[in-house]
Amino acid sequence: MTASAMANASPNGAAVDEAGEAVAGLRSALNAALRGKADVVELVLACLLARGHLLLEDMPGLGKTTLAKALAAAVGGRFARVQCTPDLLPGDVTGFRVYDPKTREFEFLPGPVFADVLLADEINRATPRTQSALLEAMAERQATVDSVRHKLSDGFFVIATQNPVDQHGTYPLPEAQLDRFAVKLSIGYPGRDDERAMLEAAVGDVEDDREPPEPTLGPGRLRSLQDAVARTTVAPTVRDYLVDLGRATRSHRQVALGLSPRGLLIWQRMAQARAFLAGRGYVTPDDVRDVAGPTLDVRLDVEPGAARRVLVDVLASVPVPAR
Amino acid sequence: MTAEEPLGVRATTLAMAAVATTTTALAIAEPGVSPARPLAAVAAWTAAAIAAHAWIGRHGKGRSATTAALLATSSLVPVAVAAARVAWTGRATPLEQALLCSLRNLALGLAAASHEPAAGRLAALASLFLVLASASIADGPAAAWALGAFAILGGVWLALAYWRGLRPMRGEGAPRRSPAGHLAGAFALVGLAVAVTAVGPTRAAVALAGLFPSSGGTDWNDPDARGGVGDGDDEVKGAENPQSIGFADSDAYLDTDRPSLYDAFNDMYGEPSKPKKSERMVALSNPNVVEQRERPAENLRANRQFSAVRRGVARRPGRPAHREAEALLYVDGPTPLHIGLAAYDRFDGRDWSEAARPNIRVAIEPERRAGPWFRIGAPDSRALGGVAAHRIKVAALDSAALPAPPLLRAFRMGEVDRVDFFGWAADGMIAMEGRTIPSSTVVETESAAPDPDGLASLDFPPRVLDADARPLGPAASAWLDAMTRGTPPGWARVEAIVRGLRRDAAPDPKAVAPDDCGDVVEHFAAARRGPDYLFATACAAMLRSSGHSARLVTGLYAAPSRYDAKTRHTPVRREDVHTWVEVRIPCGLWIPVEPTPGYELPGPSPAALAGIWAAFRSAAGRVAGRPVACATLAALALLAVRFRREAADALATLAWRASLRGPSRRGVIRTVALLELRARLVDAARPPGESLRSWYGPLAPAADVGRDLESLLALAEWSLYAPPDADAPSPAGSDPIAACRRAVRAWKRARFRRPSGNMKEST
Repeated sequence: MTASAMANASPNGAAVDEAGEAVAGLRSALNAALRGKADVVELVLACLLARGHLLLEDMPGLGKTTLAKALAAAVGGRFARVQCTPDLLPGDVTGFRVYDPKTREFEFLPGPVFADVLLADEINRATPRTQSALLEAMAERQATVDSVRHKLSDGFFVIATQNPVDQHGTYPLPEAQLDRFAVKLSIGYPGRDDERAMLEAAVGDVEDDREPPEPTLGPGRLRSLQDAVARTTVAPTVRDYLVDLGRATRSHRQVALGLSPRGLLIWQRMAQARAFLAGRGYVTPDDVRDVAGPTLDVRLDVEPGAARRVLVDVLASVPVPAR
Repeated sequence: MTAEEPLGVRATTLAMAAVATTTTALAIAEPGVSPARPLAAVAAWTAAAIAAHAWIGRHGKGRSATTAALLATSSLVPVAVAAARVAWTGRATPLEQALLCSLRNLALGLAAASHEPAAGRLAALASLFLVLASASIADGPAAAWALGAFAILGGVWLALAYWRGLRPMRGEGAPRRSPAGHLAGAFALVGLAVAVTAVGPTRAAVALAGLFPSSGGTDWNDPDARGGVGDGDDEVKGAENPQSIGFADSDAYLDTDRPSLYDAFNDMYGEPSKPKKSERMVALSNPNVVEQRERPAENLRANRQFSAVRRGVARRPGRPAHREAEALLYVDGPTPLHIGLAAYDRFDGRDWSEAARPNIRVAIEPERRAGPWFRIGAPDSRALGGVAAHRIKVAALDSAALPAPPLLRAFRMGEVDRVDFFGWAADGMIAMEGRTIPSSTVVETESAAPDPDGLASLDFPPRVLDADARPLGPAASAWLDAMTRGTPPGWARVEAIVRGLRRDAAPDPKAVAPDDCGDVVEHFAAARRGPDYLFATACAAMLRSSGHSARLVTGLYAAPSRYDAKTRHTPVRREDVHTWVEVRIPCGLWIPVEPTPGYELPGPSPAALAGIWAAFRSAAGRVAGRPVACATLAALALLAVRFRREAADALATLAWRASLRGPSRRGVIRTVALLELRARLVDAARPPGESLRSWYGPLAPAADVGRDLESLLALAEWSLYAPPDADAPSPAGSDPIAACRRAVRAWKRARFRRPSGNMKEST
């Protein structure tokens, strides 16, 4: 289903009506920030509602930070950004304790992971030690500093980026860390008309004059939407379809590392989010297929350049339940 | 659906099929025949395949049903031709030859249809199987060259097919340049190596050959092997020994130490037991003693008597036998085949002996046809079915009797054109007068085949016991009664006895009758096991006791298991000596019956084919008798074939209407099934890996009735995947069945037809 169709899909029931309005608000805020990328916005929204984390692999200047900031503003949370470099320490991400001479006690200064939306720019430039500190935050939504566990924000959402071209001096993310991300996306260059509109809008636009955008969601609203996504029905035939697809990735000859059970869970949740965004209370095989690419792209270890072929083979080899 | 295969892949597929066809032609060509004719046939076949390929490219795309029907027909033609040949000429084509021709037609047909990638891949697979199977049969260097050419073409095909498979990934960094240059370079290197090996210094070729493993010596021995470390025992070069294989007419009349049938029986069954005679010396008075001045007469009864009491042969396993060509005969023609060489009429309880030569009134007359043929003027009978033709080459057998199948009708022996060279060995058996058949002589025969139905319909006159019939002992009588109880007289009783012997007794070459046995039939009836001559003896004795004229026939048995696919003949060795029974039917013909388990008579295939022909003629007669009804039926059948899709659609729609009374979800699913059937009927079936929406969804915006399809797809998703308490999606939610009716009315078959160039390649 196209993005516009999903945007126009009529929700089912009063609760879903209300959720639909909230989703429509989020969608329009992100589409305003990222012009001409409705498909990417839909997947970002699905990732957010599935309580997953997002890995953006793209060139500089394509709107990654803009997207993250717009998302943070729309969900009404705090935004933080970490520019990952080899000298970035785990404490720079999670926070650290400092001695307060006034109180004569150590005081905990929270790091950027305590924001609601965290943009980890060029994550593959951080050392594995720093990456693993972030890994705990992403997987368990908590940070441990000096043996003290600190709970993160309930809607903690990570947008990490990495540059696909310049690999010099980087630390490629290990499979275990990649599996913590729900999806991997590329924003890509906007279309000609969108770039022209962007230039037109920039004339006379002064950064200091810009009003901070109003939050779209009220406090706790994101979590309720995420809970509603988790309750979206998945029929037994669709579950079987998902399992068969997962197994097909493991037996494909060009896949060195197939889909893990955790990946299968994330895939199901992404499909639920996709169905929710379409205004449906149940998942169809098309939801599963629509999110298959970005979900598998981040976690399948395939031969370089063969990702699309593997995806086509896997989807074609498993019969869609239609009886 | 997938896009059309590129031209390079299609051309390579056709080339592979052509090479496979060449190899097949070389494999099935008659030995010694010039290769020009099979190669011309290959050229014709290949040209036909290329023409078909061009036609399908212009007109035949999307007609998969027509293509499949043509493929099936062309594959079945060789088998049908082989069956027709047996029916009309009596000459059989080896089954593997017919199957190879079928596979050849299939490979060429698939290659012609290789616009479809699946057909092209199947063509490559069929060609690979064909070339391997043919190369294993074919002889000579041409097959090896063809195999090499196929390997090169196969490599090119694999590379091109792989390159084609990469096409979906182009644009993601995959190289765009065709691998033709790399391929050419690789094959140029291989060709250079082969050329250096072929025409370069001998030392280089020898050095390269040394890198390959040799056959070496193993403990395995194939008597029919040719080439390799050593030829098989039965395969001796003609230059060294006149007893060579092959069916070339030879003038080599050489006398060698060849075994006779008598020797073969002694080798296989042991020599006859001679009863110890107690002699008493009586003194005679001198006047009664007459001095004899000449040597006593020698008893030359060899081959005139067959003893059913023999010593058996104790074989010592593990000791290598003398290695020589052991085949007595080579048979070219359908097997199993019983080759009778001697018949015995009289039986005294232990020994069979030949009766005096009967007064045979049947004439042997020359016949006008290619070569000096002789026809035996035997009576015609409804008990006979088709005709079987054989060529039998005498190798190491020393025999005056003509090695021929039962019910011989005509024969030719080399260039012998004088009838006084032949006489009768027994009733129905030809022999050379005054000499044995020279080695390397080829005997061509035409014989009748018994028809089981005709035999069953014969009227056997009541007959008193033959003068030679001996009364059966109690055990044999009881056994005979058990076998024939409730069976009417006539051929049914013959069959009952044969069936009973095959069922109740077990063949055992070691279970010979004891030396002092006076009634081997009674012994066999008690033991219920023994060698084949005891089966035959018991069978003949029981048949005689039932009032039938029966005789014991000894000879050779050409077993189908010995068939040599390369030389296309069946060697017959010493181990194949055999004994069976022939029963006389009222017209005077001797019909063979086989009482020993493990041996079979030829199947009634010619008769069965004649039956099919008779049935066809009968059906044609019925058609001619009812022209209006048959024409109506034919028209209806044609209409049914022409409008099969419409009929299937109409029937399915009727069934769908009848099933709409259930819950709305089930009705929606049935509606989707109906529309899927309509899509299948126009060759636009949804691939299993496509969802309903991904396959049918793109059709919806293209038509003014797209809303109906869109509503049905939404309803289908709701029916299939939504929880039971979920409401149907709007706008059709209020009445899903009405939306289904609208979709069925609006979406006929034609709407699902997709242009071939607009097929989705995948998701």
